Amino acid sequence: MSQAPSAEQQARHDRFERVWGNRPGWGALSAVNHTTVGLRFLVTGLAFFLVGGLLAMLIRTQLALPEQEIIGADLYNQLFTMHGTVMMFLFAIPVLEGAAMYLIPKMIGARDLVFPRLSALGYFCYLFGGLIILSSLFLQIAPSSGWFMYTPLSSSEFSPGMGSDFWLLGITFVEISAISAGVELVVSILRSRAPGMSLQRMPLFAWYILAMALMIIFGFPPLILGSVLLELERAAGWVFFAVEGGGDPLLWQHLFWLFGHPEVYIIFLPAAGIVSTLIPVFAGRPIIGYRWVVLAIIMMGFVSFGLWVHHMFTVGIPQMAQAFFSVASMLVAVPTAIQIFVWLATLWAGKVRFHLPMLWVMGFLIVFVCGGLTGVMLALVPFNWQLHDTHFVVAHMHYVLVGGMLFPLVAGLYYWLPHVSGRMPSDSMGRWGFWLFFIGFNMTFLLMHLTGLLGMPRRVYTYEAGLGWDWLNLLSSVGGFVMAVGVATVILDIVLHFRFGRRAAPNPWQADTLEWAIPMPVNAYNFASIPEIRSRHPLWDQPELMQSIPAGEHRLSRIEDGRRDTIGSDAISGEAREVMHLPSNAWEPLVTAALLAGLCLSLLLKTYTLAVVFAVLALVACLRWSWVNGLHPRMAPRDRSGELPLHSRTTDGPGRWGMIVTLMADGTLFASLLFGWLYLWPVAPDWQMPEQSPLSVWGLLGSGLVLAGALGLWWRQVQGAVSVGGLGLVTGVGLVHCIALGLTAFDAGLAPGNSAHDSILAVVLAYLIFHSGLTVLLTGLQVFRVRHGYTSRALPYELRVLHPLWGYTVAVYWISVAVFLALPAAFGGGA
Amino acid sequence: MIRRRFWQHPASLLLGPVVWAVWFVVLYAVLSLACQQGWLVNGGDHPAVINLLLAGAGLLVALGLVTAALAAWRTPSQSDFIPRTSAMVSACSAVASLLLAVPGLIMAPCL
Repeated sequence: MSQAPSAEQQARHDRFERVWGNRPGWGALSAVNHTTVGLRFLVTGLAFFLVGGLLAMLIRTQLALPEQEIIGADLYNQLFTMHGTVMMFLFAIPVLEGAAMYLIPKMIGARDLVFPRLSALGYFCYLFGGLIILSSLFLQIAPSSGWFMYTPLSSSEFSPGMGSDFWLLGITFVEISAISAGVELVVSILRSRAPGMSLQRMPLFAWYILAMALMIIFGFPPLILGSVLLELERAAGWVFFAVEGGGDPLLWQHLFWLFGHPEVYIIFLPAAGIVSTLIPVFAGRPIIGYRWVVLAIIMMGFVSFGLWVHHMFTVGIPQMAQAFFSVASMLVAVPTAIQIFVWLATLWAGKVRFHLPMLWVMGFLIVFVCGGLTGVMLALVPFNWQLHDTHFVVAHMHYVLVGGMLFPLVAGLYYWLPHVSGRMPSDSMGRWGFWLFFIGFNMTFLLMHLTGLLGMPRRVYTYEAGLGWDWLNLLSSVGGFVMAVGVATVILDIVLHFRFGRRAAPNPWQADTLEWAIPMPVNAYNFASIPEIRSRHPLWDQPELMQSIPAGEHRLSRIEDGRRDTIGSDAISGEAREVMHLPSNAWEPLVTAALLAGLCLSLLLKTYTLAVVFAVLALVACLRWSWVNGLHPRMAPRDRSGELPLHSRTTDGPGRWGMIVTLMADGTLFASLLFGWLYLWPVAPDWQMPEQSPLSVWGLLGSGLVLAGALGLWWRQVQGAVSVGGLGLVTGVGLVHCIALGLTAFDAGLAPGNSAHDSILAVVLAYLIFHSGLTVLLTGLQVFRVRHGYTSRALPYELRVLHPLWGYTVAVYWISVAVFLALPAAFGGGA
Repeated sequence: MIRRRFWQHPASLLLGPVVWAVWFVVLYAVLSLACQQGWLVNGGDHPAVINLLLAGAGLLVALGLVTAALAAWRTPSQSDFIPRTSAMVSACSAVASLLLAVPGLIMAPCL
């Protein structure tokens, strides 16, 4: 049973809840708290999982017997496209992001993520984007080109109608959520750990999530760029992937799989983090080879970016290139194997308690190892050629993704359920659920390896009788339904446990990580006081924390000036550096996401005037957001001095880190654009490099010099000469640059509908104008911030946050001049 | 700003994989360019000069990473977590870089 809190603890809890709690009723939509947002991600993701599962059942019903016509070919195409899309984009990634958002602050000893409003925005973008994509299914205009939308099949010529547009715009919208989660998690893990939690004392789960978040930052921008380019091709007739005009359909495949393969590891890493958390707890000993696991995480994060071409072995790329990617594909098995051996060694050396979560972990080990082995088989080029696009690949993919993600996720769900509800799940019903799922899964997908080896291609809506596939498909379908019963049992178990589960004791699994020091069920602020961490296993080595944290014996045990506080720490040593004050409940995330959804819908309906209106309104909402931030004087009075400075009094707070991480994602998008240019130029058969660049050299150089001048003036402001006049001058000079760049672009007379060359130049110019405009706009905002006393010589924090954006804008400008103007002049056309 | 020697800094954890990634790109790009321009490819016969050059470069990269791994391993530090992990990551990256050079050695270029 949970221990009853003392009167003093109850009073402290009430004070904290008043500041940290959600508003009642509809006001709950303004919640930004990571616990609420994380749980919303999880519940919404599980709802999408049920939709994806239902689609899978329809697919298996259709394939159960040969020559069936229950579902026609067109609808079948929509079903498998939506099944893949829903499971990958609307379930797997968001659910794991949600789990990370819920758990990370609690594990690292923080009260919230560092950008709570960004989490809430991410959630609403995910929800609205998901509903937009899903609505296409109910309107019977769902995309039907497969979840990887290969061109030219997905082009307007071969996929007329709005299906592909729903996918491209909806996915781009949803990806806002992924990128914001990535930024949020990276900065939170690096900068808001409890004092004393150095990198080497960080829970392994945090290492995994750090790697996942960084992979999102570098992995998602190529897909975002690809989706934008394909939508421009479909909606406006620009040329990027069509051969006539100088494009190349393989560019889409490169951009998609540059995202798509790391995505598998983006999904796997957090799930492996759950396994690395649970195994030591149930083995009753620290993990063997903590350092080896960190090594494996780092290696996996990098190597997974070097494998994407193994999805393209049959498209006709040179054999030597195939060999490189084949080697890299096999290499990734090494860090994976390191983790498997670490887990097995820990189980071997410990005294394992086979509670329900461990059953799912064991299921994971069996299924995932099988999936990994078929992955190594598919890394072999000749084998890959034979089995490409067969059911064997489908089976492999499900062994890796279901084994590598769903089994650990359910294990984690059962493990952390008491944390959310304060109650224990039913052991017997949970075991029924596991065995039904495990047997059903293997029945479905083990047999699918055989249908694949017998030559059954994927994505066929029916097949002839007598090819040897009949009974295998029937059994696969029966297995699918057994698996569905298993899922239903697990869901029923979870729902019932909220009412009938017995009350959980504090730290019911005798875990070592900090989240179990929070009284159950979970509160809004996590820790009544933030402790000093002296061990990698705080609850094993500092058991007194269970009492001393709620008793308020550590830091930040009082609410100051009605604001939400957590400790900011050194990224490496974990030493306390500042007090971060976080924003309270806010409507801005919901309003901004709704306006962005309006923008997305109006683009879908091709009502471009309305789209402009929504874009402007969304911009206004963002500016309002940026104005009403946590630095308000009422929340952070300037005359108050404490043990640690407030982050807004420093020059290196979380905002600056957030800006840098965001620019890393932005830079990846820009690099993907450069890749597109450098790829099409030598490879696309109809690419035409004009003798004379349509861009004016003098226009670009002049505009660039004005930008450099603006940067010089800005530099003076950042160095301390903060003034309304100075910032106004920077804004004015920046505006001159924007106008000059706009005129140069207009003067170029590009015809993006005619050539890939002009299309890419147009996109680059739009990118540069957007960045210059954004930088100038935010600098202009600082003029007003100075006037209202938020920014000054004594308070240069916001200028420091903006500083990397200035550097980035100038850098991409000159890189663009070099690559898109100077390089063709030197090697291809003329300037 | 807290000053630390490179091997005590977490950035050193990324050295090996970054070198591996750059080597991957350079290897692929040089080979593609060589094949397109007909540099050192000996008319496509095996072994061509480009094969030996790439294999040699792979060996140099691996040696460099092994040296880095040794330097990291020997770095005195209050806590050995970062230097030792960096050493292990660099050593693994050395093996990975060497393996990557194998196709360049054993296959005829420009297939």
